[in-house]
Amino acid sequence: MSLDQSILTADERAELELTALASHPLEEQYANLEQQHETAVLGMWVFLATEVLFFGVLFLGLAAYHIKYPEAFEAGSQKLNWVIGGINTVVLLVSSLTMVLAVHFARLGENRRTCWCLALTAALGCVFLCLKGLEYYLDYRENLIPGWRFDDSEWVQEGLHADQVPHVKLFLLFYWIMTGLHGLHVTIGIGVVVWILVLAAKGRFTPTRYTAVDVTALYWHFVDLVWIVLLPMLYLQGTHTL
Amino acid sequence: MAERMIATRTYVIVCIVLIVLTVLTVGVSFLPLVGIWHTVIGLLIAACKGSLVLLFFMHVIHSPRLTWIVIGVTSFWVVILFVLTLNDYLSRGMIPFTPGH
Amino acid sequence: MSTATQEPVALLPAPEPRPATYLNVAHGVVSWLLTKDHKRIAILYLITVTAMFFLGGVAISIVRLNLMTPDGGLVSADTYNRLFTMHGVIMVFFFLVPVVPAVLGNFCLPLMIGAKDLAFPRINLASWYLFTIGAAWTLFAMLGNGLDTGWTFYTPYTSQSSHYNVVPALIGIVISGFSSIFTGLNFIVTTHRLRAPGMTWWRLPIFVWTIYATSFIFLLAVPVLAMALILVILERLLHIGVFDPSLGGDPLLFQHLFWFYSHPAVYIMILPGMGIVSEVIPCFARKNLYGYTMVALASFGIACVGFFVWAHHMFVAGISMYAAMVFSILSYLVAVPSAIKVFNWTATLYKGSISFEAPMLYALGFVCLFTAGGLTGLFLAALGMDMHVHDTYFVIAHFHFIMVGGMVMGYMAGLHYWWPKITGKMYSEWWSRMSAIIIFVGFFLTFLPQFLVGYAGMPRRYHRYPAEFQVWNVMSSAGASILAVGYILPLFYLTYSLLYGKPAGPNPWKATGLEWQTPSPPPRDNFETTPEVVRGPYEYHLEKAQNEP
Repeated sequence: MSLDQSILTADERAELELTALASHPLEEQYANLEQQHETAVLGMWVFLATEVLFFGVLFLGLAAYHIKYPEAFEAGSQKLNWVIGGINTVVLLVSSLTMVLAVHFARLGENRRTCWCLALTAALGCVFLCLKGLEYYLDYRENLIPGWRFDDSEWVQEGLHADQVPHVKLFLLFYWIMTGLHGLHVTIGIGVVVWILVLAAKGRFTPTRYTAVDVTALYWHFVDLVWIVLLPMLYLQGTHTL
Repeated sequence: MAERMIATRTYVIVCIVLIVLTVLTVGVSFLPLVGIWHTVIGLLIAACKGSLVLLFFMHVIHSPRLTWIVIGVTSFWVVILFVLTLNDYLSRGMIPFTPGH
Repeated sequence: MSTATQEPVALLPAPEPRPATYLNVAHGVVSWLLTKDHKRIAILYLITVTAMFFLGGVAISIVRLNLMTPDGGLVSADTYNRLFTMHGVIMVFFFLVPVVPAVLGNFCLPLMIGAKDLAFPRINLASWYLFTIGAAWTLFAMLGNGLDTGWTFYTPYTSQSSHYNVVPALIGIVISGFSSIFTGLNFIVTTHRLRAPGMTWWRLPIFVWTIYATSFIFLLAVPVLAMALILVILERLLHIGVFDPSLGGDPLLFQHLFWFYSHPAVYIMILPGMGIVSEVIPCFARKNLYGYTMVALASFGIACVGFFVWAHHMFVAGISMYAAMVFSILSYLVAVPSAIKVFNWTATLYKGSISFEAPMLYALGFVCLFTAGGLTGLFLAALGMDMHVHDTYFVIAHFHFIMVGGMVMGYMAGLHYWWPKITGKMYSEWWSRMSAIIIFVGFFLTFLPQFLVGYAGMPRRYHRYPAEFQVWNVMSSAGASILAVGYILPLFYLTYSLLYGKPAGPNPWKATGLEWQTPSPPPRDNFETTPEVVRGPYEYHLEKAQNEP
């Protein structure tokens, strides 16, 4: 039952708040809903801090080896599919927009719009994953999987010395691990967004109880942030030619 | 919950700016620059995009001071991780090590 | 002669209704395994962490028995490697890192700030499950086929050559790493958001400051370790990876990432112990903590500067000379906040009314042994000296002075200090003091010879050694057996106290602090009414002023 709360009267709205409170009471250790909301938001920010350090390790490895093997890393970067990478960036950016609008509407009590925005976010996330899958398939076709499908001679033809070819494998390893880990985070994010969507459709959220939407949005934006840095660091090193 | 709300229009404008910056960063990669500049410019544009997402989409612009502190401390620590580790990689071979002397 | 109707005589007074405490508010195993109460979760952790401690102790007992003779015939070289690896992995990841935060921190933090529970109780319970599952996973990996890499898991041995259970062991550590992250997250958010009215930052007990600083380290360091171990796991599974020298990979990158966590990890281990000592010393010297502000800030100083020194573990590994010099200087700096704390504890003792209950004995032992161990750290921070003593018993003695002489004694101090609050019972004063003294004596006999033998050149992680070192090794092993007695004794007298101990009352030590203003054991929601705080944490001088005419 999707409820558009902007059409409710003040009394009906107050009653809705009370029933929401009754079915999902305030936790014992909190004095009021506001403290509970602020604490949950702080908790998510602190968790995102740990994720930054988690991904940071991979960026550090990429940086350290890029310093050691610049030509190989640039050669590897140019072989990656920047078209799909760029489109995927736009997909995630728009999904961030729909996600923040979902929070916005939840805060205003406009439940139907909240549900639409959440659904769009999840859909765009799925588009991202599909494009990623396509990209991975194309990488497979182009022999960009070290340890499985990789052709040394192709890289020598590109202009690399035979000694530098193993270093390209290092670059590609970072590509696969970083995009794979990011894709895993997107998948988890989609799952959470769908769950929040189901709760929203049941009328679970009110203008003073929308913490779960807020916190999910923070996670989703973080996933977008990681991709924003991944795009140039993986796909856009070295000079491209059309 | 007590924080000020941002207008829908602002969110849409920020998103459009982010998409423009994405097009820009891809476009710059076609310019004939020395490798390091691609990295530097790419990071700078990514920093702009990231700041927009943080400030507007993640509401940091209206967030309490503690949120800013969490972001600041985390960023500083990532910088420490990078600087002190790359400190080693960038200086290997600078001072020769002769055992027994 | 009795009349027909007679009032039944009450032979015994009606039993007082037992007060509802967190222990008796619900019964049954399920109520414990699904609890959201931070106090019960602390007890769950106590059980698993204590079990791990004794398992790690068994492993090293066999090692020390093997080291009684120079040709080490008790176990094969391979088994010896698996034993010291087991000892290190268990003691570091499954005892020292979690023990004070997850047991005493979980129990005391909400009480000390006047809250009813932590910010996220379900995440707290999840944290215990992750810890236990991770510990069990790694333990089975090590007891099964085994692990012989040392607790440091250096590549490329771990990522390529070792034939043992590397992947399952590392998976277990990654899982329990998430346990640490959840705990740290919970503590930080709780300290920011759930303090009682009037409990400002500068009225917090030092234990809270140190737990906060420890949580800060958890959050920033553990993810780095988790990723480093995941990269090793991937390399083993895929037979190709980022630490592979044949691809141009650098095994030293692993060491950088590993020590980025593992050096701050040692501050995770010691900071809560310092917090405990900062509670115990003022209480048993009946004196305000000297220099509270500096001690609080020094906790942060240790946590922060501790992140800048990690490559002092890598001086001889192949990092650049320039980087080695930078890390050496930074390592000297990190001693400063620790020294500040030692000066402040000593100044607190000066002209105090000191009494030697068991917690105080342990706390004094901590100050003495931590200082000695810490000073030897400065020796190791010097590049020239480290070239000689790296990978010798000198290093082993250094960190055992700090970890066993410092941290474990600090934990024992805290356990004995808060035992009456946790259980509502007092333990035997005589046996607890005896145990403290036995540990202290056993400790010296075990680890002092290791400094000497390490300086003389005996390398670590070898199952055999040159015959001239035998005397010291025998002394060390003898000391270890005394130490074992000292650690086993509390199992007896503490368990005895659970059954037959005298009821403790809310404040047996007449200590200050909010946790002592509530019954022992505390009720489920900690306080009858939300406390309001009006004064600082160590106002022992008020009591003194009251007693003077």
